[in-house]
Amino acid sequence: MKPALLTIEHGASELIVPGIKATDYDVNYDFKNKKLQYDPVPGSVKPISTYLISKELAEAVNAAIVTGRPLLIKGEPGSGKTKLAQAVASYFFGKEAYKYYFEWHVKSKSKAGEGGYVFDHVGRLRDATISSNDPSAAKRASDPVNYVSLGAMGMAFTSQPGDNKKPILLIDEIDKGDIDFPNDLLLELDEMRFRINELPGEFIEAPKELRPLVFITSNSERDLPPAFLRRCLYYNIPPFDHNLLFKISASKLQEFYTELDVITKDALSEQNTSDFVKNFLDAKSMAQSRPPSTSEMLDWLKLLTYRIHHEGRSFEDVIENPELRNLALKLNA
Amino acid sequence: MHKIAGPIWGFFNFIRHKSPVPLSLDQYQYFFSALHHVDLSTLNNKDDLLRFTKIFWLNHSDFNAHYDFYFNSFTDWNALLQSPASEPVPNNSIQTENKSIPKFETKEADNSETKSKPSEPIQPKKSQSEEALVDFQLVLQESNVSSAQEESIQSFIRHDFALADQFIVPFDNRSFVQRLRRKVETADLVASDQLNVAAMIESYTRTGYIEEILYEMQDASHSNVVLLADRFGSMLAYEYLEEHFITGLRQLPYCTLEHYFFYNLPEETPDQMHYKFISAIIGQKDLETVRHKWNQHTWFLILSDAGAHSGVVNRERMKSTAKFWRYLRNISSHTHWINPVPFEYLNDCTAKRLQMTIPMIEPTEKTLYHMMYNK
Repeated sequence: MKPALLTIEHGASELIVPGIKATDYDVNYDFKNKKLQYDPVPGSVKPISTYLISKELAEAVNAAIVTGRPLLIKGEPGSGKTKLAQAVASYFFGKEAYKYYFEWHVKSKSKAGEGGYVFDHVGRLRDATISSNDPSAAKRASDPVNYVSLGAMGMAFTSQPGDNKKPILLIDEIDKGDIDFPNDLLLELDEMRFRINELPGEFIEAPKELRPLVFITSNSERDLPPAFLRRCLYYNIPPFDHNLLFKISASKLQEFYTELDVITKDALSEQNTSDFVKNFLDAKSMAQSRPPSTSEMLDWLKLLTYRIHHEGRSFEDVIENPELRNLALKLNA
Repeated sequence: MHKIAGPIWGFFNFIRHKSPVPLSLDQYQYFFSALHHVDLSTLNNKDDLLRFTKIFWLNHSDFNAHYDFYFNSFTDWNALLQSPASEPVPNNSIQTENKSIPKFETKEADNSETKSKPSEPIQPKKSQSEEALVDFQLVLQESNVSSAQEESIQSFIRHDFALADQFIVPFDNRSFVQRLRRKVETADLVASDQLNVAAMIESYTRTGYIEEILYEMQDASHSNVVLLADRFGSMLAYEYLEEHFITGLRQLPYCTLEHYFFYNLPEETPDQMHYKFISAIIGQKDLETVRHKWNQHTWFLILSDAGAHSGVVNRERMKSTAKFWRYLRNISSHTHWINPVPFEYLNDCTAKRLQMTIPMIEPTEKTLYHMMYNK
């Protein structure tokens, strides 16, 4: 089976994944039928931003899809590490992205097992305690399945998108976790299976051909263990040059126009956009402390767009405004 | 049209052993398994190749500079190997030597070459230092080709030894099975160890005495083929080969196929008299439970690289492997070791030494044919 891969058009140097509003789903695992159940959340949509995937990054993502290995993404803060996973989900699944995309934001107190499942022991104890007065609680307490909820990793292992596409799992900021956190994940990421201890004989396992595409992001706040690193593919998002920042800005502008209700005939000219990027790169090179990131550049661009189109200011006027720039790029911090 | 050729395994080993970049063999396998699925046409030059290998083999930015340095050192060293000054070659063989050594250099290729099947690479005898570098030639080329030329591109992605892949397999399954069925589905009847009492009584009633001891005849056409596949580790790269064999062997109608796998070597039972196999269907199995089904007509096909990718000589493994080989060989002379990594590409390692005592063959049309007909 040849897995579905990212495809960059012949001659293009990057892939633009347009921003969309994806349907929000309430996802639960049905232990009886051994599959996920999706209930669209009425009236709720989750936006996925426009994303520009460079040729090199697409190669790395495709390599991760083919090898079934997690892709460890590093790069400057705000370089789009986290958004990448969403963009890939949007590329493959469009508005149904959140059916097959699962994210796990690692915190300092996160445990590796939580990604697989969580067992509500307290809830069961409470139900067992009140069972003599409440028959429904007694019935509930008798079946431990009622207290198991799968985590992002468990959902990703059981998701079945079809069309040779793989579910997507984001493990965000893994270096925020406990020192043993990455090592505790080794077996699960290697075998893509884990056991639910409270349910004898119950395993959650990803079929070989549906092993999820795992993105792991790290801010390099601390070193990850070698045993973990050697199981991952690795891509370091390089600092963007003028050309790429221009393309990012141009593609994001369309999204901002929609969000800010701007009539597109008043769009910024290519020259203005290029000047804006040049200004940003100058500000970045002159930054005294922390250089501003790409996401901050986009904040600045959005602010400029608002000022130009809703306050009637000229481009030259707002681009030269140091307060606005310092505010958006946090240069006064 | 430009093309570049690079000895990937040589480079992998070079940075693994010479540089501080932490690398494990698994990481070579990741690269290996990705090789045929990703669009190689995007890799047009040395920088592209450097970037692409980094996805698999560099997992910490601290080693980025080291990686670049060793990559460039390797290519320079490789260039030195081609230099007549550093490695004198006889005058009459300079041309051949230059063609044979894999190199990271851009060279002009004749346009006509894209339309016709590329000629076989010339394989002169390699020196020890070259041997360390030669793995397979990954041939890359520019991407500006039409979809109609896709087939000719596939023919360009050629390797000096078989890469087991669902798209590139080293032998044709159909002809393999057709040949094998002539050997395993013989119509011969052979004497079993059961007395044919009925025939002896019949003879006695007819002649008044027992002429000779008669045995039941056994239909040898119902023979077994046992595929014992080494899995995981370096054999991950050849998992398609195992599937390819299984697909073919399942087509043998009068033959019982048994399919087991193991890791490195089958585990011995505590009494060290038998082995434990893992059945591909029902899980772990003690050999004693299946041993009775095997006889001198059973065909054993062992699919393993015998530690070819380890790069070291493991004496314990050599000893155990030889013992395992003898064990099967004592059951049937139709025991064959199929090693996907060919002899001439190995450095001094377990597999290379083992090949001096255990005949190992490559899974190609020719060698499999020779295997079946004992040529």
